[in-house]
Amino acid sequence: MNLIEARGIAVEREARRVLDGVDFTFGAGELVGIVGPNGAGKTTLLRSLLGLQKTCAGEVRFEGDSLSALPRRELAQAVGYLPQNAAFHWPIVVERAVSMGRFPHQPPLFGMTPQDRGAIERAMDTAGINALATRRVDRLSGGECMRVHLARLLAGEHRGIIADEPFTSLDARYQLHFLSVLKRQVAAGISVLISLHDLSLAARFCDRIVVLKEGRVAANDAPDRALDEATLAAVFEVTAERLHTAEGLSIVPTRLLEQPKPAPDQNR
Amino acid sequence: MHAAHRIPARGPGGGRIAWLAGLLLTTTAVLFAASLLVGPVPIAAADAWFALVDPDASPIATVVREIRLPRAILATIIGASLAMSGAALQALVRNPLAEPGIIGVSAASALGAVIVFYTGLAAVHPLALPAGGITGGLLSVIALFALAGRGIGTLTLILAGVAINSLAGAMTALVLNLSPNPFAAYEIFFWLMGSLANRSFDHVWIVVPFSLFGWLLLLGAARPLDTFVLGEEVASSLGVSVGRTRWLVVLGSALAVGAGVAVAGIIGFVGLVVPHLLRPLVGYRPAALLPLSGLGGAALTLAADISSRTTVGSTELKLGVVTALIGAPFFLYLVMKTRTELT
Repeated sequence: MNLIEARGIAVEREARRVLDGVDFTFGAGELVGIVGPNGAGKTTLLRSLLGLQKTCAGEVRFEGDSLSALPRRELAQAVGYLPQNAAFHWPIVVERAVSMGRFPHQPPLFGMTPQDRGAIERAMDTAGINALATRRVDRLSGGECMRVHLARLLAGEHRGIIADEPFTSLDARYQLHFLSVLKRQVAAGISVLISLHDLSLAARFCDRIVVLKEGRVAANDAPDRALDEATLAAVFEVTAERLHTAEGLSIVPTRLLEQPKPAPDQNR
Repeated sequence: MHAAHRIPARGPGGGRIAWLAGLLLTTTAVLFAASLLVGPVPIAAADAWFALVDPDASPIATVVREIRLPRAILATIIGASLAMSGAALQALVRNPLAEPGIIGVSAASALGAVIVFYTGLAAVHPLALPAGGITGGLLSVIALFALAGRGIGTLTLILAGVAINSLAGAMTALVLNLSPNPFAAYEIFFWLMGSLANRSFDHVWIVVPFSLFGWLLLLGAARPLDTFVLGEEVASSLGVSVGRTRWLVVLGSALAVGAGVAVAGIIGFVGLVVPHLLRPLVGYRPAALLPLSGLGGAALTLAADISSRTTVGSTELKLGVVTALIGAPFFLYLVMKTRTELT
């Protein structure tokens, strides 16, 4: 069964259609990438799939059940979310931040169970932040912070993970680390959905790519087909060199097809 | 590799929190006892204890039971309310400067109480006075959220607070000036610089139920507030109802602060100083900070009230003056610390 299924999702903001009839399925054990120009509706789509965004049409189903009828806690146990520009608002220690991932699993008024502690430990191991456990999050580098967010996501031991441009500000090493960790999760049967800007990383790591343009799905296919010359030209308005390397498809934008129109500022 | 030795069984800092709670509880108890002994009439500890249990109305028993005991109870309850509301509001808007006094909740509560008091409504029903205070407080928090929206920045928070404070203060003075009251100037001073002088058990019974209910709402929000450290989006995705949590904090602080202000006037900065001092000691966790702030607020307010009647000879200072003398420089220090965020 599909983890998430969306039919005809539409979202309006200030009389503008931010999403316009998006159909989307997110299967078990898939790594799906969402790409698209700024303002294409990537964040809005991710938030709609999680029930965080008010939609004006369409339906989202989670494992066959309507999202609106699903208890919030049950969804929280099943799917973890890392929003764009995630931040820590108080200088808590790393271990504490990671333990937040266990929140949906903990009954109120009870402390951590051995199961919780095991999950936190494994997540910190996987994210490679064991050495940082007692450091304050405000004293970490950007890359270390993102690893803490990753560990927080993993600690939830979810069936699905949704991350919104998790590594836009990370250097190449952290980007590769982040994606390879997610890839291993997928190998273990977990579904991962990420939005990202780097087309080469998307092509190389994702099983399937959804290309959004102006709130509509422009392509939804395996990377090689979803990111073909025609789509790149139509959606991103660039020509691109498609290189088949030993590590997979790599996409290098070469030339603008025309002057880009100023993109509507959507990410609040 | 093994979780057991690194993550203590009761969660990070569990032992330290219990230790802190014990220390604060002891401090509060000692200050409460001191509050019964200290005043213009010196009373020995043994006499005070005897007066509490003595069925006869000796002069000492009257002083202890009718004057000092209600005063100590009010200081404890109102102090706890202010500090817990501060801690909860700070966790909600993720800003250490959110405090009932600074953001105008106390001033609006005072206005509500003053309106009820001087229009004669307070004489109609004993609950009218706290209801006025609570309504004022509630309206101000709602106004603050309407003005500043979600994820309030420091600058917006303080400016909105300035606006609400000035408006409520001016309206309070106006209502008192218009009332047929020869002591208007004195009364304005009482409401704007709170005091616990001459309070009786009647006042205690007004404050207790609302405060306790307010505390329950605030404590109900404590665990969800822990997740707000990661932002409201993540909190929602972790299964927290952000809207419900916000209402628990808004209603809880309006009830606790509103009822307290209705009998004691504005006592500022307790909700700023106490959570700020305790926060690093509990690893910046709202869930642990809330109850501990309650104890700390009780202790600080008891101490401030004791010093208000002992520091300057035979004249009693207003409690609000003492807390402002401690709190305002503290506030300035916090603003300086976050000034990079303001520019």
